[in-house]
Amino acid sequence: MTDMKHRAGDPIVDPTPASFTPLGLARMVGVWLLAILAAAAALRVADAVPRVLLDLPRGVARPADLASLERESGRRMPLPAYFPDSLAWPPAEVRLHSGGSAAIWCRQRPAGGLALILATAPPGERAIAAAVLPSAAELQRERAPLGGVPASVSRVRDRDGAVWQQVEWRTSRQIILLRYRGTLGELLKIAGSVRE
Amino acid sequence: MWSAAGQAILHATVAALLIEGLLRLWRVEDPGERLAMRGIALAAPLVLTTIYLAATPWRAESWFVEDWSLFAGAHWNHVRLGGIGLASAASAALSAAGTALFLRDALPFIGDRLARTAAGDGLPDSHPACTRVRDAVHAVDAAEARGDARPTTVTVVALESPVLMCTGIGPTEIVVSTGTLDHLDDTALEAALAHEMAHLAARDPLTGWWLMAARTVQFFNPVVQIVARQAVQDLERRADIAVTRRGRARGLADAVHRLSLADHVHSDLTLPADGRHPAGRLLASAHRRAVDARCELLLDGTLPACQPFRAWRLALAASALAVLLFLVV
Repeated sequence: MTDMKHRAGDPIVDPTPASFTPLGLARMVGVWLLAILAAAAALRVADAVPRVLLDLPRGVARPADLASLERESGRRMPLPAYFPDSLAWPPAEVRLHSGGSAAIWCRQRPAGGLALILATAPPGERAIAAAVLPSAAELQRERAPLGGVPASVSRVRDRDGAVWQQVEWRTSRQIILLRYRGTLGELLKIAGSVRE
Repeated sequence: MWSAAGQAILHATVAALLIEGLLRLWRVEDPGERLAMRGIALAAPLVLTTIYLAATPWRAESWFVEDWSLFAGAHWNHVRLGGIGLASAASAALSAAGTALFLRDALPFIGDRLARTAAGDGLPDSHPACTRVRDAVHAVDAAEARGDARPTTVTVVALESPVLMCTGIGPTEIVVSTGTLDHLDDTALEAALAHEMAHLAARDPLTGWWLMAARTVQFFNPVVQIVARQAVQDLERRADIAVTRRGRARGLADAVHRLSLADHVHSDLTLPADGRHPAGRLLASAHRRAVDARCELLLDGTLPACQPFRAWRLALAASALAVLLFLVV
């Protein structure tokens, strides 16, 4: 143990209490604000870690397969009856947004790039969440009927510069979007075969 | 249920870290204030989490989770471990750890309560050991000149292992064993009794019950278990400071040092540590260092300064937690 500094019975004088100063008060509140901001920043960083690890936008989950997606979203994905042989199945990626939007991403066979995106959103949503779709810039949009249902047909360019055809329409059950890297005719053929 | 338990653990973690940060940044040294701050950290997952879960269930909805929350445990469930979300797995593992920490302290505590020595089990008043303890209590009492510190009963039990503890909320009691008397000279005994009487004066046995209640209600929460232990250390420090103020620091350091070297000690002055297993040796080593640090603090004799605005600091800490925890889901 350390050397004795005070002998038993020595009177111990309490240190003088720190007095009030405006600077002391300001420092106390400043430290408090700093601590809150630091805690908020640390929480935000901790919240972002899984998204960075999985390369996912905020609010997007990646269910294991289509069955998991349907189980977690509580909805059946509308699948096309016509599915070109050039596309691989099962989907390369399955995404589910916390707002209810869901999407499956299909690649070209064998082991090619992405070629078909099928996305849906619940009827209450304004649109399909962009987070479940690959990023793309819209080039052109037109209104057109699809089997008697009003639809929006557009052309979009992906990050690699490739041009995709896209069609989006609403039913009583959901919003459906199909994005295809091929001809418009082929896309409309796929879209026309979608069964809810 | 897992979700609620996970959120309670998450909230307790945020509360404990923020309070620890504020204690350091504000340089709070007064153990009374440190204890109050830890009380806020303990109450947060109990009170705030319960209120938020019951009164604001919409915090779990996606618009709040995605657009407003600072941290959402559900996001960590996107990382899967063998088909289980990481947040769920962590909740389960931490709940198991919390329960183990609780049982580690609760089982000996329950055993102690069941085997508690009744006042009638002590040595007769005419026994020399009783006379020695009575004289020491009188000496401390006379020096303190405070009636609230005097125990209702002092029981001396015939036990080789050192026992020195205070108990009781209404009628209070100090229990001393003959083993303790064998280890301590009169100065150290008076200082050790002054320490126990400082606990009684501050109604620390009642605080101890509150801490145990908080630990029991959140038995699954490892952070609550750890913060409650830190609070107990603050109680000890506060009693040490009361003894230091009376000029008995050297005697108390001597008592702490002597009792810490004895086997099978049962006293808040020093806790027992089992050094048989590697993990036990590690704990014993840490325990030894903690006891030495406590002795050094006593011998140093420096008393913490009381800072102004204590109530403001407590209010600011509580309000910060209320806001932050609301945004953690």
